[in-house]
Amino acid sequence: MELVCPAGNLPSLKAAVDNGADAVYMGFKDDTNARNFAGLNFNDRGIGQGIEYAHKKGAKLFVAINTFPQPSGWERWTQAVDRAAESGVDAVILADIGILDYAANRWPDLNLHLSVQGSATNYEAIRFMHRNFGIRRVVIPRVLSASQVRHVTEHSPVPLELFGFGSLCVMVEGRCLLSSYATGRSPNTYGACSPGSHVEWIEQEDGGVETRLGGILVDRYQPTEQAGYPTICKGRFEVQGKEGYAIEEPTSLNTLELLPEMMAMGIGAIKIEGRQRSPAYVAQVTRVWRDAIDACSRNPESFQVDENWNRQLSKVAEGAQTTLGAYHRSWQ
Amino acid sequence: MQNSNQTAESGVAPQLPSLLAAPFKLVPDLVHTRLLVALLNHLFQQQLQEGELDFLESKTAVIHLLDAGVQFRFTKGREQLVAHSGDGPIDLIISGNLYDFIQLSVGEEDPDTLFFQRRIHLEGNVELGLETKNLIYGLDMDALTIPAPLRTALDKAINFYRK
Repeated sequence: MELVCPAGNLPSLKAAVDNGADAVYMGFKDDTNARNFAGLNFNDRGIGQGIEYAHKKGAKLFVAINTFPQPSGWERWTQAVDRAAESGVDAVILADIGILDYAANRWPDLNLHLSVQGSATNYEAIRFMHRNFGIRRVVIPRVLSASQVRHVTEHSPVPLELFGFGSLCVMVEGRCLLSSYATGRSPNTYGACSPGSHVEWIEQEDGGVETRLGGILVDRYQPTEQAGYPTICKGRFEVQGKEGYAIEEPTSLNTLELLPEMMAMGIGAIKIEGRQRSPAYVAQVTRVWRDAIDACSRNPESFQVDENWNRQLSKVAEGAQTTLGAYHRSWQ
Repeated sequence: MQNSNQTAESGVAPQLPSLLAAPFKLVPDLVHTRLLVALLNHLFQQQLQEGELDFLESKTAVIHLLDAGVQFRFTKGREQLVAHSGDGPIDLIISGNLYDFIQLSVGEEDPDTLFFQRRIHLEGNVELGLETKNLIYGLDMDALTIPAPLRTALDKAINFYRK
């Protein structure tokens, strides 16, 4: 089982590789990837250095080109595929059907992974992508329960990559419009949810803080409350006279305890979220997951989650609480 | 700006004893800031040449150490970062206690973690804040040639505060 870790810059990439990532995924400095935040990501020089470092230490490098091109930007996306292929990356992670088609024809030897943004939640969708574009891996959206994942795995023509840890959103990957509603920019087209240019943090007299997105009040934190990312889905609103998290609470996914089950299913890779986080986060999370995967591979029968691992992961988690997300839904 | 040494629900935020933070107050802010920008200009030589700091041009950023009572106010001049002595409008304020900034600077803590825990505060132009954060964490310390005396001084400071 491959451990796939995030990198928003070269020090994070090194932190991932040095702490035991089998593969690192990153993006270019533009709207062709879904973490298009100011100051983040790689230019061509950075990619070259990243590949050199990863390959020297036996790790793979993937490039996410996982947003959906608009009519005016088509060439930026095809050029991103060309830049990735020419620089010798091990795979590109794509979402748009047009870009998948371009990459499959222009670079027949390039490994194509279907991004979580491609939103394939059933094996017929995966079979279609495999038949038409020759994808070699699929990243599964975080909406399926463990039993549903098992069902997909049994019939999928390619290995599955599952999210193991990181911030959760409402998980309608590739289809969410909440950020567009507030800012006119969405992860799907612009590559960023709640872009910084539309975010305000306003300190209050009482020590609390108010956060607004595109002028819309998203939340008001009391002085002692944990804050979260300024997204609509994690805001507190008044609905039918009741105030609270109307959509979901700020929280992170943590699936350490499912590792033996995932291994038994034959899951190909575990993905860690967080290209927008610092090298310190990448190092800490990668180290925990490396140790856990190694322990589970050695002895899956008696695998137990080390409390220390959970403590370390909870510390860096958004909302400082973790959940099994949809995986634990027994009714699905 | 609110001087809020709040604690997150998860526990009491670590802080340096006030005696350790106090010596900063004995020296005027502008002197600190000149030292800081000299260090930053050295560390970001390549990024400055490649225009990656241009986003700070005609913008005023402030780093405020709450417990030490010190403010670093700077902007980007024509070629490099410069200490800003004027009053004028402020575009970005990053504030927190000295201990947390040290944890960040030695890569022991993640800025988003400290932000979620309300130990680091960000006010003003958030995009400017994100870009500044990402610029700092994108800096590849391995590739830098830091003059030996500076490296020694940094190591000493880090060890001192770690104790």
